[in-house]
Amino acid sequence: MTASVGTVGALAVHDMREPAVQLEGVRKCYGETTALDGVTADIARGSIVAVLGPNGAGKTTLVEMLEGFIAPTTGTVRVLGEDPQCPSRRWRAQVGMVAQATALDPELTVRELLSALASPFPDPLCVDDALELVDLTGAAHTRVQLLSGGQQRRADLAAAIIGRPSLLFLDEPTTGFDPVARRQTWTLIADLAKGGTTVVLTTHYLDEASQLAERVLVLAGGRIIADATPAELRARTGGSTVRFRLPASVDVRDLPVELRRHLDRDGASVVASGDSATPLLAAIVAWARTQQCDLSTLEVGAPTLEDAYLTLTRSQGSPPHRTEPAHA
Amino acid sequence: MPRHLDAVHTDGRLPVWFSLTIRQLGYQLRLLTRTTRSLLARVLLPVLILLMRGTDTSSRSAQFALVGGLAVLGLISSAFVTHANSLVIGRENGVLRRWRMTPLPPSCYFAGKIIATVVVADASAVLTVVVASLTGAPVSVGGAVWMLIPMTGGALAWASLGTAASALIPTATAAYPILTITYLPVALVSGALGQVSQPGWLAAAANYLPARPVIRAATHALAHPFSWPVLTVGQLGVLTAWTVLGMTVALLRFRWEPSRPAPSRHRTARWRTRTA
Repeated sequence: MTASVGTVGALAVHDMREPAVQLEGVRKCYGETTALDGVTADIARGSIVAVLGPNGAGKTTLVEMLEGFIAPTTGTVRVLGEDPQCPSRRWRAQVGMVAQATALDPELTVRELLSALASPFPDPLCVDDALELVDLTGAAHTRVQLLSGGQQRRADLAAAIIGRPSLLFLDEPTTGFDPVARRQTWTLIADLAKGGTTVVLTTHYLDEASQLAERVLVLAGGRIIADATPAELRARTGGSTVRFRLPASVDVRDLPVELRRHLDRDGASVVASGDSATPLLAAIVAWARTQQCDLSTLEVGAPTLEDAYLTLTRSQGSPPHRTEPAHA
Repeated sequence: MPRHLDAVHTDGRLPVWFSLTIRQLGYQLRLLTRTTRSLLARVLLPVLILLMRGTDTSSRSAQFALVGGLAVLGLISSAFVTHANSLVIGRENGVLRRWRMTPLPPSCYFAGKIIATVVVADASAVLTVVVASLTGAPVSVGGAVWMLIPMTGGALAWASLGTAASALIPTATAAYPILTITYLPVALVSGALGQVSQPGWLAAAANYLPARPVIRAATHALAHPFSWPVLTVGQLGVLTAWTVLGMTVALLRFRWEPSRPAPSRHRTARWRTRTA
């Protein structure tokens, strides 16, 4: 299954038509525990794919397997045409990653770090460009330990893209970012994809996945339970979503049964998706009239990716999980 | 879209081993000198002991032995404790993983890191000799220079053992106690704080540990600058054996990734029950 079609120097050149990632029947067991259970998927080059799933669903295992840090128990993993368990230097020159936590030596300045990390790559970004892309030009001579949490994450992102990767693994890349920095990072990720970089994004921010990803893989219990575009996932959930945040004065026990069964996990809102919003709206309005309750927080619209995700993971009986709030 | 965001697919020649190792050496030296508290601790430990004890011992040979022993104590502190500790911390905070994901060959990373460690360990030893000289010990510049030969061999052996030890230490919090309890007894029975009375079997065993051969060779170099051999065949053999042992264990057991608890059986079992 090797896709080598030529060489540059002593190193193989891979077929660019081949998917960036190929997984076939991948299973990973830790003793009696199965972390991944027969995962099969391809990821096309230049695409942005979000891997979603509740905690313990197997996301980290999957990504670390793609990075070459975990071997599958059975099945085949090919990344950029190679087995990530025995990667060549050329393979490593094409891969970048942002881990969940900042992974930089805190005693050095951002510029020193980026210069050092750029040195093993054949054609890295100019350090000044990398700093500008993550908006850290002003902090170039600041030690990493003196940066704010968000700035450290941005330095981490700069380190991930310094080698101009063909494949970029991003694990919660915008955690700790302010809204402006998040938007800038989204633009940067989209630009990277336009330049031919394949992005595998793991995130709990579903608005981020919705904004960036062309395709979403939802993992639960070690299996892929959905593989679709965000629009397809939203469409599967139903025609519309009704969302109504209960006023603080309302006791949920006073709600009629048809509303109570749509309470979210906090018990703070009624959220329901379906082909028609009319029956639920009628029930809410009727109840609000009798209670003389304000309906200013009532929203009706198309289901979000978060609605689709929650519906999907609930229906699969995945472990209890709460997504992060959809804002920075 | 900025042109520079185009992904590199296959073009471009990878930098060669030598230039990468030199750059890595510079990076690691910068890192070691920036870690001020750690640097002070490893450089000051032998100096402080020297200042507290003084070098006014009964004979010139005892003075050389004390200075050589303390210089080796500083060397072990740098080449073993600090080196191993930094590897464990780097592994735990993801820095090792970050480097492993670059095209830097692991041999360049370790060569750069170990050479930097040896340079700092040697500098620490020289500082100890300088302070000893200022406090009246009969050491010479030639002796300090000549001492660097066994010191470099010893630093390589201890750095190799430190790399191996880092592979066996599970977490950063466990690192310092494990490393201290490993090196301190070895240093003491080997005479790092001067000669101590000990059972014959222990004295014989200490000859085969990686500290005493360095202390003896350093003491000899201080007392007899530029005289050959600076290391006997036996001393060289012991240091080589420990270096090879450390490298072998490191090659077999070194991990770039932090140890990770396996997924909870309870949680998976519960999930299976719910989906059954």
